[in-house]
Amino acid sequence: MSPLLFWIFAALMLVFGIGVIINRNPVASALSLVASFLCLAALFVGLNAYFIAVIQVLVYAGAVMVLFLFIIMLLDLREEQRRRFNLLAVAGGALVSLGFVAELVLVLRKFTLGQKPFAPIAQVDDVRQIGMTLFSTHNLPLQVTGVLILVATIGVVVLSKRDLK
Amino acid sequence: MDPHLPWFVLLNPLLTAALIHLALRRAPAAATGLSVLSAVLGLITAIGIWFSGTPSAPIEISWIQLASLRIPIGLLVDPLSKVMLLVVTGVGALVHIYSTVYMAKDESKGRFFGNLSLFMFSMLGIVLANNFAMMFIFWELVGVSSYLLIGHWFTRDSAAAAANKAFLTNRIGDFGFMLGILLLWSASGTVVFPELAAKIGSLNLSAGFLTAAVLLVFCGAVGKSAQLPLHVWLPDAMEGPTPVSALIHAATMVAAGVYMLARISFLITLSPAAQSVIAWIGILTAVFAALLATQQDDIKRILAYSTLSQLGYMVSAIGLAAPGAAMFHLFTHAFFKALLFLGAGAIIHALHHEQNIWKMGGLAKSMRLTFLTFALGYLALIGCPGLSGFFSKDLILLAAWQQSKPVFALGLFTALLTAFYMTRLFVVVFLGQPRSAAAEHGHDGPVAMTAPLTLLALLSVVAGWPFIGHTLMGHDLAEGLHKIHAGGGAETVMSLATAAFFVGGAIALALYSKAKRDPLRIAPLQNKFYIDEIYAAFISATQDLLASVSNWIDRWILDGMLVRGLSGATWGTGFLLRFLQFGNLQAYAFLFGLGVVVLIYLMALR
Amino acid sequence: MPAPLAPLTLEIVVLLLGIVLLGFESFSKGGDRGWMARWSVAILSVVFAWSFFTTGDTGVDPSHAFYCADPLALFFKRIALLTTIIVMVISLEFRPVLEKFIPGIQPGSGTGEFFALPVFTCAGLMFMASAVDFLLIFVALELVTISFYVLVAYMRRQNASLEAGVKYLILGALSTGFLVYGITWIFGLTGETNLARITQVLPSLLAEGGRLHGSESALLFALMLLLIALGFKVAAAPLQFWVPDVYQGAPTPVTAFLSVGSKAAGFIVLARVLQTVVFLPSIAPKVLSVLGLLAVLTLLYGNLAALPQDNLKRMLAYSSIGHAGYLLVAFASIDPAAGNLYRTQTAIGFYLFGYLLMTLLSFLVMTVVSRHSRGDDIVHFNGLSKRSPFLAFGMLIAMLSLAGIPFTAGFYGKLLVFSTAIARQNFLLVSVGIITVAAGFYFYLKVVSAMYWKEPTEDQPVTASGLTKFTVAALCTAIFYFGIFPQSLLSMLPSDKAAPVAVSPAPHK
Repeated sequence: MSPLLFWIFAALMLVFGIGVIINRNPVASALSLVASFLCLAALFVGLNAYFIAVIQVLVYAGAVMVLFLFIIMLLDLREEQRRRFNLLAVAGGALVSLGFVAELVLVLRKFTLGQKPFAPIAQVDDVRQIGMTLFSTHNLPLQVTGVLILVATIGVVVLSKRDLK
Repeated sequence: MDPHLPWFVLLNPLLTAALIHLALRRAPAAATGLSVLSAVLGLITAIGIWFSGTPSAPIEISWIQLASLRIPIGLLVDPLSKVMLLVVTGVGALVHIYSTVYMAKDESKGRFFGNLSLFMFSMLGIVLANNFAMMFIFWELVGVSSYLLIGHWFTRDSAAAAANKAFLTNRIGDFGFMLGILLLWSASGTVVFPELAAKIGSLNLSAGFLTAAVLLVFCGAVGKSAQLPLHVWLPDAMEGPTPVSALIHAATMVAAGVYMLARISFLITLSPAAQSVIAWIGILTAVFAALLATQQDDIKRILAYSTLSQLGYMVSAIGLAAPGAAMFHLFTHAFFKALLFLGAGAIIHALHHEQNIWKMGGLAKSMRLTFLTFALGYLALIGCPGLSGFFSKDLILLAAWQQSKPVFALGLFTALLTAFYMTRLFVVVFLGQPRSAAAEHGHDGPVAMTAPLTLLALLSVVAGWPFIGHTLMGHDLAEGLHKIHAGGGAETVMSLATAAFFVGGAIALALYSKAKRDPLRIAPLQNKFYIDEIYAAFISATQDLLASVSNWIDRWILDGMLVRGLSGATWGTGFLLRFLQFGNLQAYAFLFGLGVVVLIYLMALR
Repeated sequence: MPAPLAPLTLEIVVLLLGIVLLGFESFSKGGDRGWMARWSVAILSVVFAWSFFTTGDTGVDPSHAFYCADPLALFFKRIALLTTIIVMVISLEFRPVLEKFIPGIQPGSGTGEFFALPVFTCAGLMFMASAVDFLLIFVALELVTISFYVLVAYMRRQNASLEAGVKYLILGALSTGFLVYGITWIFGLTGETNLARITQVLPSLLAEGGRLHGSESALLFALMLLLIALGFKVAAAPLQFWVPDVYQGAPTPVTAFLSVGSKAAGFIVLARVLQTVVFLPSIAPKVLSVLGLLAVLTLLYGNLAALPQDNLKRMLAYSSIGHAGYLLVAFASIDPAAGNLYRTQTAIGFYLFGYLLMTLLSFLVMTVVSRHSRGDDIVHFNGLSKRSPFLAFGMLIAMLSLAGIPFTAGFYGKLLVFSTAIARQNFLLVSVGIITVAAGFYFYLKVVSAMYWKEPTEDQPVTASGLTKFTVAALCTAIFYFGIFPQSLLSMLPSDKAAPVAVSPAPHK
């Protein structure tokens, strides 16, 4: 991927990410998130990780976000009330995230080894590769992930159960 | 020697305490009987141990075994612990017997005797422990059981407060004690006394390190033996039942500090700086407490200050490199001070818990036996020639004379003060006319009360006689005593001490033999130099500070500054509530993030 | 003796138990779901006993494994199992309160998942104990965390519980973000997720002038991200802000579970992660000094902020922060020259086991008492010795052990921890430790004095079920047993003498 494209998509991703937070309208927020995910998928394509890019679009930008929008509309969430920004909270948040970014930059600037290209991991057939890995060598974490999803499902059901009177 | 004997001495009171607390609390008679029986058995065994030789192999079972640390549960039986065993079990047994009368009408007698046995267990643990860690554990246990006994009448506010004060003050000392133990351990790799003694010389430790270690360990003794500046708890501890005062706060527990110092005297002699600090703290405590004792009106408090003062002598003797003299004085003092406390207890008991000496008087006639025994204890304490206290105090003064004249001068002055305040006490309580209705009906107690008094009186007379005392002390300690005696100046010191005895006694006699109330009123002395008040102010200030700091962190930073601080009147109430719920979370997230940034800086960028 | 079993069977049985419980639950009639807890207690106890017959050998080369079963892993699996068993006992006592705050057709329906989820959490904790690959570490950790999100917010009708759930969710997600980010960095640096192989790769990464091309600070950065996430899990200051609110708001059994299970698992992962890096001479000093800083802050915050508390649950929350501080002292006192972590592992293993006993004991008694007194302030414990001498005694033992009185398990744990610090001549840590122990005495004994020295506010006796009484008695006995005979527990933990069994990766020479 050409560096130019990388920078464009990365910047867009960040812009839409910020959009998620500052939009007052929940629908607009959700759509920003979709856009951000799409940019992320584009970055994956740039890394030749086509499978993950497709999954990113299908699962996140597609299924998950549609669900989000359904819920937002179903619950009829109104636009959040206009209110004055809590200056202190904004300042605090900005301070912390700027500090973190500054540290990140400092570490990265020192880290000259990071400029060396990574040896390519995925050869050609990355779907097959992922499948083989998941179901042979990496089977144990996969199974535990299954349990994790089961627990998460139970949790959602439990917490969203209507009051049965 | 049969190694089971020391185990029996140690575990028998523990078993008794467990039985009483678990099964016999509702059966006070059985609890009393069991407790007394076990105390007497302990005494008999201790005598048996004294007559048998020293064990060839160390008596120990392994408890903690790590690469860097070995803590056995081990018992050390040597002349030092043998004589201390006699003191503890002897006074202990007598106090147990005496308590059957004194506590006869108490509602929770079972609890009292259970705790008394628990105390015996912990005290014997200190005496027999062969390593620092075990000694420290029993040291704490002694603190706990004494806490329970001082607070026996915990429904009385003053008793509960006194128990707390004793506990907390001792923690300060024990903190230093623990640090000292840790220092010694980290330097030598062992906490077992004989191993430490063998190793310490070859370690080439710097003088500063040794001094620090010794002084930190000494902190423990300062707390437990109530030396300046941690002396404040002992007078207050007189809130406990009088037999407890006799056992714990006169004969045994407070002497544990001195005993511990004698146990580690091989360390103390390595650091001259620490020695002189110890000697000075001891003698200053002696003078200071004697001064305070001259102006107290509560009979038990006078005796408490007198105990402080005598302990000061002993500690000072340790600092003067005369552990033998310290132990000798500990030995004699245990008997006559226990006698004085038990005598005072008999008076208090007869006078329906009246403790003010100015409401007594004329008891010589009505309490004949108590009077006679008390008189012997009193004379022994003030160093009347021929009685036990005379010999032991004389040795300490002699050691001071040989090593440091200023310490000697203060010691002599203390001896004079001692004669003064004890004569005051004696004259006011026993002579003259009764000054209250209760005092007119004084009477001797039953045999269980007078028998211990008589026995103790006998011991108070003879325990100091050189051929008895020195035999009991064993060869090594007696050797030290002889060395002091041969060091020169014996005649001078003896005559000066005798003079102090006469002068102090005579002044008090002149002042108080006709007095109806105290002719001397010295405010700073009556108020104990305001030390309690100073401490109280200091402590409450610290507490306030701590409380407000934690309060400030909890309420102000988290709730207030980030949430309410800026949420003044301009925001509506709804907003306020909303922010209370989620603002908190924002604050947490902010602080979390701040922590992250700082930590990453420290780790990766510094 | 039966043939040794593969250790993974333990987790499989626990997971099956969880699934079967859920299955039966959905077809059971009536509101009472207590049977689920009782069955869990029974079956988990069997698994616990079973764990002593498993072999330590997984048959897989550690550098290709996700899962190891060295003595340490087995030990922490037992901690997880025991914790879950006792938490189940606590939740049985907690049922009346739970039913009040759960909507349902009849009292008790809707509480089923409350008894099933801890079983899954337990499996997650057991996986964490064995995880030696960042992938499994992450997945297992999330399994635990997500089930806790649900459990903390379980009492939906009670605002405190819901609010605690939200706080835990958001801050937990934040910390998970750091964890993943840290793992990514490590993977980026080494190209590996397996801890043993990371250990092998790291020296060559740093050898070519780690300072020169900045891989040293990159590695430290990555490590710090991991430490932050794990520090959040074990409640180390300054990452502990969530603890008091969440602990106080969560249902009491969940609080107990969080403060023991989640903490223990966090510490074993921390031990495994540190093992990969702490023997690198250029890395160790910085890591250890940051750990020391965390330890000091945690000790001071936990113990000093506990002083003014008058709610027992909140006080125990602060106290659990404090105990995390003692454990961190053992980590900060790792000897990089030793070539292994046995000392620290032994110390934290013993400490956590003792901590388990005394903390769960206090939570169990607290649950019973607060059900009768309708509150968990210290005032509600006034005169407990008159209302139930047995429970008061249990609480007394728990408090004494938490404070660190000799001959209790709590004392021996503290001793082990301090001995690691002294061996490293780390006197600052020791002094801070001792000061905070003194502070601990104050607030633990506050409870004792309330129970024994104050007059009760109500006088009806406090009663508990037979199972509860048995558990209290067993815990008390264990506290004393392991305080007096610690060797029996120490022999299960790795020591200097025993050769490392099975698959813990060999330290790099």
